Amino acid sequence: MAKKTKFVDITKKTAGPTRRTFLVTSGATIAAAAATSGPLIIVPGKAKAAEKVVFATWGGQLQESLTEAYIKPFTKETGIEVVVTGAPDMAKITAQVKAGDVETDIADLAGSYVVPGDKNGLWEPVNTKIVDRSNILDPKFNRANQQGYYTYAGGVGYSEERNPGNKHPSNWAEFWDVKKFPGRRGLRSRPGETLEVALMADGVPGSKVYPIDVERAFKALDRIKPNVSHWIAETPKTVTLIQGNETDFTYAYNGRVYFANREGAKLGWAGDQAYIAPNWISVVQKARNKEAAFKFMNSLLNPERQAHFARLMTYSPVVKGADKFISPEVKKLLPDPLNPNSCFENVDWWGDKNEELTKRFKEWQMV
Amino acid sequence: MLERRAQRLAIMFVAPATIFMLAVFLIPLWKVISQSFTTMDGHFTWAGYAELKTSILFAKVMWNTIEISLMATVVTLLFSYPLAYYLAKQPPRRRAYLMVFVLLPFWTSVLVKSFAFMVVLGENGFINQGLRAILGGDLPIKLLFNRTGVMIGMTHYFIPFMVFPILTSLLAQSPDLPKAAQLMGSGAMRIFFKITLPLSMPGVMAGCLLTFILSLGFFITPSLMGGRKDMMMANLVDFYMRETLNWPVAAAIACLLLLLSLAFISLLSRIPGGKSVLGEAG
Repeated sequence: MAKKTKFVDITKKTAGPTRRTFLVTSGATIAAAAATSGPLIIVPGKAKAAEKVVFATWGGQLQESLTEAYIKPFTKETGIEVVVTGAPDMAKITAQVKAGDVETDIADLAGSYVVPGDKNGLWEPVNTKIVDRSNILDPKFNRANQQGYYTYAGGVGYSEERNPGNKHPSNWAEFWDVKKFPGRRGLRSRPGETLEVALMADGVPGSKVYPIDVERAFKALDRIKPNVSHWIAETPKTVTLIQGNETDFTYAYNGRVYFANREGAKLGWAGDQAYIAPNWISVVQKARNKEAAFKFMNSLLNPERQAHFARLMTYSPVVKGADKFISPEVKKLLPDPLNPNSCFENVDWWGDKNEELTKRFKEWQMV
Repeated sequence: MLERRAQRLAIMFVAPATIFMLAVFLIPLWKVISQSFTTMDGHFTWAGYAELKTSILFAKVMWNTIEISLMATVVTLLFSYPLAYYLAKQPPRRRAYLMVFVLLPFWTSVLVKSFAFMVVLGENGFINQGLRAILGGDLPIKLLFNRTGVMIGMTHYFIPFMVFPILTSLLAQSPDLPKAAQLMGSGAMRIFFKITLPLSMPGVMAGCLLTFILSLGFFITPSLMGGRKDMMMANLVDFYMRETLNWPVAAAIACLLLLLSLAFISLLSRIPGGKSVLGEAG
């Protein structure tokens, strides 16, 4: 039995309405592990069931909503199965690409994965023959190797019970004002988003945050540091720490707050001066099911599905025509991704500064 | 003839474990060492080590690691010696039962324990709720996400590692010695400080070194129960590995950590009590 798994693209040899990548494999694949021993060759007649996309995404409610809004209709429409795996891990993907044995076909990316991954050759250029990007709300959601397919917003999260009415900060300057709004603060334990927020707190308008004045941002952070009870590494904690009364005001995401409230929490979220970021998605280089992965990427830009996802998560759509499927009540909950008060993530400014600034941030935290 | 057969038999017994270790330990270890000299696109580099020479972050984390490890060792010793002393005084049957309780933390995963500690020690955990009920007021004691949290978590983990070497050296002492001292008119305090304690020092040294070496590589406890100032070497490896994707540096730190541990292990093999910990006879 051969140890290496071989993939043979026979698309070019077959003519027909469907173009597929066929899998010729030894016992190593899931299908083979199921029952068969010895080499398994999937013949065209059975290929339909074999076509799949492995999608790495953040788990939890987000995954449930993605399944409802995008994955189920996609599988129904194309017959391509979408296998969802755990949170995308840059180190793991790097190792897979280096070894030439890539398990993940398509992955959700944190902002800090975008440019460093581009430089390390992890992300495949978007195949615009398959992905129709013409309907996009703003060209900044289209990158050569990534597609932004929804936006999330970071604002001030607080407890409606402990800080009702106006007893809570509504923007970053107020978040920094510990005399007017006494209480414990929670910020992200990383420079990305935190430096941007610090500058807005220091009076920089959202649209002028980039290029980031790093010195000024750290000086602003010096002021808030004694009042920060939690530097939050894990995203779910941005809401659970308020719920558990471990902290009072956090840098929190609109969708997380909305979801916690749907499950009975009484949290508030102020997003007048938000940090807006697209959720990026990329096909991984050397992926086994590239074409299917791009088909899936294309389906993420379907206006009706975008609207469905927005209703479930309150993360805003990025394509034109989605809002006609969204009721006014839901629309109120959606942050405007193009709001001029907000700061819009700039992954190109970050480029490969992430390493240097993360080091500085950690050093700064330790003093 | 017989000897050669015994030898062949020995090889047969040892071979499976050796091959296994070769595959899952030595080969990956070799990969880590070579990674520390290889850039992400496969060229030779010194940059990993060069960066560490000048990195303030590394210096701080290194110092942190040694400080936390020393603190954990001392705190563990303070808890473990009385415990070992008490155990040594018990009749063997009773001691066997009591040992089970010492071993309990051994049988629980560090991860599970860390989460359990969060429930107990948090601002709204059992301890703070209890204190609030007794003392009133609104001041929670900070037991988590700071050095205290790290110490609680690590001490809890290390106590068995400290108790057993000390217990062994206490049990190895001849019961006649304190009796003789007593006959000569020595008091209990004097017997302890002049006889029992000095004779148990090899066990103390072995337990301390073992605890110190193990704590150098701690990862879960500082990251879950520590605060922003409690970053240790293993957390820094994770940081370079996953957050900045700078594998040469991550591997270089791992290699230095390994060297540091090896240095202490060779120290351990030189002290009398250390040999028993390392599994050597005598």
